[in-house]
Amino acid sequence: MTRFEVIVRPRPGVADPPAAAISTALRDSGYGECSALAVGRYLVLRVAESDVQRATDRAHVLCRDLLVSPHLETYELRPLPDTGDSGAEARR
Amino acid sequence: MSPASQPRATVLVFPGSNGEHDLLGALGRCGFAASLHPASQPLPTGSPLVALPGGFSYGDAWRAGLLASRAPAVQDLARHVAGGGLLLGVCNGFQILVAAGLLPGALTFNQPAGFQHRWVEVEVSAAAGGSPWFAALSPGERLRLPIAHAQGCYLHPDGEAWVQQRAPLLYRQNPNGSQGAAAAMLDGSGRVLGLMPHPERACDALLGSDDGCRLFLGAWRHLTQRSAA
Repeated sequence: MTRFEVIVRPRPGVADPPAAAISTALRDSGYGECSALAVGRYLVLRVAESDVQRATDRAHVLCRDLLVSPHLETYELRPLPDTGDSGAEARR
Repeated sequence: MSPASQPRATVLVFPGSNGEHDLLGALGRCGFAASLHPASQPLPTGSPLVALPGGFSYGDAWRAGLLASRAPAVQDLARHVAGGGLLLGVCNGFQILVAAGLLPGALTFNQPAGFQHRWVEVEVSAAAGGSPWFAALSPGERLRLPIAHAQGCYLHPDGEAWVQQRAPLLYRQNPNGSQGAAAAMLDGSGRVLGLMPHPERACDALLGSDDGCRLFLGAWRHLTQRSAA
């Protein structure tokens, strides 16, 4: 098993209304010195393949084929140690 | 209308679709023998028209339309179009067709942000010329159709001029920030149409408009003339 983090971000220059909405909420909530610069998506992915290079290649194919809108977004794939869990553990 | 003059139509259903019965009813009203088909199964053969309904495929999780874009039936759509078939994507169906690469460009969050649901007026542009979907319409004609979407802003990397030359329907008042006020897009063949407004919800004058029928009647006319030839 090989695990990855997939981080998807808006392409620079593409309008990001969710970030604008969050910035408005921050301002309205007394955090006017803070603003949201980009809103993206995060996924912990497990590939049932022990060879890291093959798993990485497969994950890139998946990202380009299904998970990323190429005109609007870029993505980053980060390998994770395989702890055997789902990666969905709660964190504070 | 005899069954012989009723072209078949297939409406794909994804987990989270909610407009499939509206589409089924509109197609039936406009002369098609329409049926539902799960997108998780390969596309059936013998249906000259395939339509993808509105809704929230896969709950709009991750990004609207993306997760549905490699469903087995969707993977068969390029072959369907290459064989002369007609293909329609309405709202979420439009998002799926764009994500699948069957239509150019991308659809993203409305600008300004927010869900828009109301009646709009769209105008047929010169780009509609030659498309079977617009066989019952002429450039300059206007249609009254409802919209209901939060991610209907159409963008193309080649910019507004590119979009305006290819968008067959333009909003009279742009509700979502789409480049060139594009409400719809065609592929190069003219047989693949995606649009954010809902023609299937504008097929009865008692409910506000029957303008949507004119798109389906154009498709019907094209298919019945083709089968008679």
